[in-house]
Amino acid sequence: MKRQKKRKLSDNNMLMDKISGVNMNICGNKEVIFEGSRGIVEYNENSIKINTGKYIVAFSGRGLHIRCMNEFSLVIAGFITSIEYIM
Amino acid sequence: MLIVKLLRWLFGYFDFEIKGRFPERFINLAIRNGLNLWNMRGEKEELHATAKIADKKTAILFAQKAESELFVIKEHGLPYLCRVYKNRAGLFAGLVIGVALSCWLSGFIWNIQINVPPELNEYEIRNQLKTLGFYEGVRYDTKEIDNIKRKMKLNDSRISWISINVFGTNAVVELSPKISSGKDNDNDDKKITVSNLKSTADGTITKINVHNGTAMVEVGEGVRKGQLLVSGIMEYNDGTNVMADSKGTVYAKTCRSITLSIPEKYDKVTDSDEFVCKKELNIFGINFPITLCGNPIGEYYKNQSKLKPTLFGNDLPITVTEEEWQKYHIDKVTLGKEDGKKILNNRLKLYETFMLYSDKRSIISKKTKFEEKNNTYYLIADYEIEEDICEKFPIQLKE
Repeated sequence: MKRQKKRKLSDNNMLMDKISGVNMNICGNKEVIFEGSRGIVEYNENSIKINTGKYIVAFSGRGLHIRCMNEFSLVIAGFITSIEYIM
Repeated sequence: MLIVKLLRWLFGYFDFEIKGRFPERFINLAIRNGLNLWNMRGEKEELHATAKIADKKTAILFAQKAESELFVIKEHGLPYLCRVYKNRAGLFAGLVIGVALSCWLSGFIWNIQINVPPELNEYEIRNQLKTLGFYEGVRYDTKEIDNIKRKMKLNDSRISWISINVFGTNAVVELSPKISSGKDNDNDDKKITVSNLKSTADGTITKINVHNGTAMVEVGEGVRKGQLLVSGIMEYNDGTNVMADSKGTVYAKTCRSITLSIPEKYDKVTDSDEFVCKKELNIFGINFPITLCGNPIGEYYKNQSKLKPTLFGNDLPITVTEEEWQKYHIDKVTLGKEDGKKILNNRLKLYETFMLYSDKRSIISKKTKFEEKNNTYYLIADYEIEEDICEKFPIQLKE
């Protein structure tokens, strides 16, 4: 079972690598649906930084939080003041 | 969302706080390993989140890996409640007993509402149902109810149909009375009714008024009780006879006598100021006394009233019975002559009002005599009355 799970996860990683795309759906400055995450680098109410593999996307604002998330995607909510790409 | 909340509550969840250098690493580890986190709030080197109770050990392990420390703030949900109240066995037993009792009691009928039409009596119907085994506190059984319905229809010929609908622990009995189809009347019409008019009392005829039939008596003639007054057979001049339904009025002077009496000494019942009030509460067929007193001993009579509380229009299976035991004493009263006469005259007036006065009767003369004999007062009244003494006696003939 564990092997199968690991295999599945690695398949997903490969798929994401192939797609290698970051997809962001920004709804005003209150919510962002982010796809293509490889992990969270920084998480506090003023700043959320997400690693995409090639670069880091930094969201700044007030009362920022992750509403829900899975391995590759997450929903950020709060008052977003800026989005920054860190290479 | 409600389902999600309910499931989370059933499986249990806990709020926690992670303090350390890299709380973000904890999030990454958790998400990659399928650990579900929600309500995540990040602060400087701190993370507040919620997770399932089942994932608690894994969460602690990941916190250690992330060089942080996990502090449980609060636990919620059913597993948490079970753990808290684990030592309170009585509470759990009470809950189980309560649920079991509720399930068991809901199998009984605790309230019977009978909707009766004016032709039938609710008290009678309730008693009939009780004798057939359908009363408040009986166990609900569909087959038995069908039998009761059938038996009720068979036992009481006045009932056309009966339905017993059970809603939870309430039973509603609906009844409909039998309506005559009118077939009997049709048969009666086919029969030829011939009737005679006969005398109901002894007397002297004063007035005859015959509408149909042949008068067999004349004015001034004396008649006896049961004597034929008007015959239903009419004879014509050509010798033919015709049978008819006699109709008419025959007035006669009759005599009537009545004797009223009252003893000189008699017992008079008087209520005293003393009374005992007794209350009883009936829940699910079991009586609980509210007032701590037994039935009083002595000369008492009882007034009973029952109160049935309702909730949202439904009767509750609770009855409060109030019994008022009133003490009385018997006084020996000696009646004077004048008082005795007064009482007897009043009784005579009542008799005249209810027994003698009518459209077909009038009092011509009245003689009263008051006397005292053997410690008893008597009032003898002799009446001369003019009244209709006709009574119809049908003779049924078939074609």
